[in-house]
Amino acid sequence: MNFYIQGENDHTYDAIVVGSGISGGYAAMELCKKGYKTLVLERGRDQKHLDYPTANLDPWDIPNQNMVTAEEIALHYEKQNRLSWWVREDHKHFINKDDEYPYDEVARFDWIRGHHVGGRSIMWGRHCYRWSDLDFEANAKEGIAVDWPIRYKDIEAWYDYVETFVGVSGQAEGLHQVPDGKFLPPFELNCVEQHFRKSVRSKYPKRVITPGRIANLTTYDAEIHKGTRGQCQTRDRCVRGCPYGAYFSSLSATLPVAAETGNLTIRPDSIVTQIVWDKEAGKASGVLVKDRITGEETEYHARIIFCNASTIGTTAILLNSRSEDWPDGLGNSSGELGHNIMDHHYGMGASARIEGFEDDYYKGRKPAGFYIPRFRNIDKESTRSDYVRGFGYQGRATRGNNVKPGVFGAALKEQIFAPGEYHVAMTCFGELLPYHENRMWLNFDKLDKHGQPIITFDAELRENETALRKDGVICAEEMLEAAGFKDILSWNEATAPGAAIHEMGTARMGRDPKTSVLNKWNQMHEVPNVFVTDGSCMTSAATQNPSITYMALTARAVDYMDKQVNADVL
Amino acid sequence: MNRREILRYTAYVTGAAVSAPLAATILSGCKTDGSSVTEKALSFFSSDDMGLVKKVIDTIIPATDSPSATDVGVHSMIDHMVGKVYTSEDQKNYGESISALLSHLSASDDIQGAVAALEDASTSLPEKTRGAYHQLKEQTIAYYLSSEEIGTKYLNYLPVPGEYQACISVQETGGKKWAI
Repeated sequence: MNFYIQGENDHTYDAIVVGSGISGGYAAMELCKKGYKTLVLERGRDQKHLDYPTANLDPWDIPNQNMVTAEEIALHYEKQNRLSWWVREDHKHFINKDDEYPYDEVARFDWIRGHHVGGRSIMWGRHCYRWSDLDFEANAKEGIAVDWPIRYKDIEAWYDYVETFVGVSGQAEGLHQVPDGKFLPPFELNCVEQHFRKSVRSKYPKRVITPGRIANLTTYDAEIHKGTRGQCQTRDRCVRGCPYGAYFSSLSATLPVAAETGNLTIRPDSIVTQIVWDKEAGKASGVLVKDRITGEETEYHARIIFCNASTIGTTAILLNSRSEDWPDGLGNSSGELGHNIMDHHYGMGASARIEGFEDDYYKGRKPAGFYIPRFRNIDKESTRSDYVRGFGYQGRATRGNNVKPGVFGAALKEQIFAPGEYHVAMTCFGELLPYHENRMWLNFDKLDKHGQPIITFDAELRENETALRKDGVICAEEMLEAAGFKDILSWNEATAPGAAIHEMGTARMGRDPKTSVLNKWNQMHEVPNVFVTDGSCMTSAATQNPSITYMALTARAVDYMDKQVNADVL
Repeated sequence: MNRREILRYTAYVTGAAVSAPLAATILSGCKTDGSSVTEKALSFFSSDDMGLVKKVIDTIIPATDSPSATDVGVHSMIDHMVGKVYTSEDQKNYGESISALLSHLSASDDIQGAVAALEDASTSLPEKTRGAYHQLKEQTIAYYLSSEEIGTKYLNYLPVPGEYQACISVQETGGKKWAI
C-alpha cells in the first residue's frame, strides 16, 4: 500500500472512499476488484494488522483489573466512559480521547468511536443478522418517516455475497423476521443455554434462543476467506484485535484483498473536510483533505466518491460541503441531512442464578453467547397495542466463582478453585424510531483544533421506546422463569442514543428527493457520483445489529455504480 | 455503592464479556522469585488499616498448600483499585463502609472469631459492617483468582483453547475452574 503520495497525477483517482471502517473497507475492496484506482482516506492514525499490543496479554498482565484509572478517565474519557463497560485498558488505544475529539450535546448522546485505519471494524461486536421485509415495510405500513426504497428481495443476494466472504457462524432457524444466512457452524449453546432454549420454546413457541451469529471463523477456508484470516481459537479477546485474523475486520479481510489488486492507496491522517462540488458538471469533482498532523490542505479528484466515514462523520462532511448551490450542505435540498438519527436502545435486561448443572462445563471462551430474535409485532398474534416494532436480546450463561455464604479460610479454598454456579445475563436491544426532531448539526461558530465545526447532538428516546422497554424487561423475566432459574434480577436503566454504537439514519434512503438524501442505490439524489453506504443511509433502525446490512448495501451500490460507469451514465 | 457497581471493579459476574485481570505492575512489588517483598506506597489505606486488611483477607484466604491472599498481592491490588481506579464517589462510599468494618474488627483481638461471626448470618451485626465484609471478601476472591500465581498453577490455564466445546464434564478439567 502506498502511504505518502506525491505529484499531481497521484491526486487523481478513479474512486475515493472516505473512511476505512467496516463499510469503507468493503467499498474499497469491491472498487479495487473491479479495477478502479482507489484512494482510501482515513482521518485517524495508521494501524497495521497484527499490531495489536494487548492481544496476547493474560488478565494479570493488564493493569488495574483492566479498568482505566479515575485520573485518566477524567483527563481523556469522561464522555466515552459514560458507557460504563466500554473504556478498558486492553483496548483504550482504539478509543478516541474526548479532549482531542470534542462534541456538544443538547441532550446526552454517547458518540463512541476510534480514529485509526480499520475504524470500529477492529472493536465491533461482530453480530450479523439479516433484516427482513418486516423491517423494510414497517415505515410504510405504519406511516412513520418515509418508506424504504428497497425490499428484502433487493438485498438478499447481497447478504449471501458478503456473508460468504465475511464468514458468519450461526444456526439456521427458519424465522421470517431474521432470515437465515450463509452460515459457518455455530458456536453451540452450552448445556444451560440449551436448557434455556428448550424450556422457553415449550412455553413460548415464538421465542427462539439461538447461538449468536457472529463474524468469527469456526471453519476457515483460504479460498473463500481471503485476506489475512484464520480459524477462531476461542480466546474471546476480539476487541483487542485478533492475531489469527479470525474475525472479520477491514484490516484482516477487505483492505488486504483490495491491496492485492494493486489498485489501492490508503492515506491515513487525512481529514476529509468537504466534498467539492463542480457546478458546471453538476456533480462532485473530489474532496478537500486536511492533514491531521501538518495541517496541509490538499484536493483529491475522482470520478466516483464513496462516503463511509461513519454515520456522524459522513453527515458532518456533507453538511460542511456548502457552496452557493448547496447553502445547507451538499445534496441537502430535502433538509433531512442530520435528522432522523437513530440507534438501538438498551440498558434493560435480566439475570438469574441457575441451580443444577454442576457436572456440566465448557471448554474454550466462545466469542458470543446466544441471541433471541424479535418476537413482538411479527404477526397478528404478537401485535401489541402499546408500541410498534420490537426488540431482541443478547446474552450468555457462564459459570462464575464458587463462593458459598458462611464459608471462609481453608474451607473456602477448597471451593474457589472449582467452578461456581451458572449465571445467565441477557440484554435487550430495542428499536428506536426515526424522529425528524432527533438530529445532529454543525456549530459553525465553534471550531475544533483542525478548524472544523463542532458537531452537536439533540436526540432522545420517546413514548414508543419507553413502552417497548417495559415489555422487554417483562419478557426477559418471563423467559428466565420459564427455565426455572432463580434469583431473577431485572433492570431498566435507559441509555442515551449512541450508547449501542449503532448510530444511523442521518442521510436516509428514500423514494422522493424531497424527503430523503439517497436513492435506492445509496446514490445521492442530487449528486449522482456520490454514494453513501455507511449507517447514515438507513431509513429505519430495526432491532438487528446493522453492520452486515451496511456491507451488503455497499457491495450492491458498487455493483450498480460500476454498471452505470460502463454504460457511460456516470 | 450497589452490587452492580462493585462487580464493575471485580469483574466477578458471569454474563458480560469481561475478563478478570490483575495488574502485573501492581504485583511487581510481590515476590515472584522468593526474594523479599518491597511494599509499594499505599494509595488509599493508612498503614495501620492496611495491616488489619491483610489480617482479614488472610483469614478469608489463608496459606495452606496454596498461597494466601497477601502472598499473591491481593492487599496491594485492593488498595490500588480503590485508591486509583474507583471514582471519587465510589471511593467515598467504599471508605465509609470499610471504616465501619475496620473499626469493628480493631476492637477485637480474635480476627478468626470476628470473621466467623461476620460469616454467621444469625449473629446480630450492623448491616453496614456485614455488607463491608462481604464486599471485601468478594474483592479478595476475585483478585486472588485473577493473579498469575493462582491462575497458572492452581486453575486450568488455557490461553489458546482452539476448539470450543459447549458441554464437557467437570471431571475433564479435574474439577477445577478455567483460569481465564
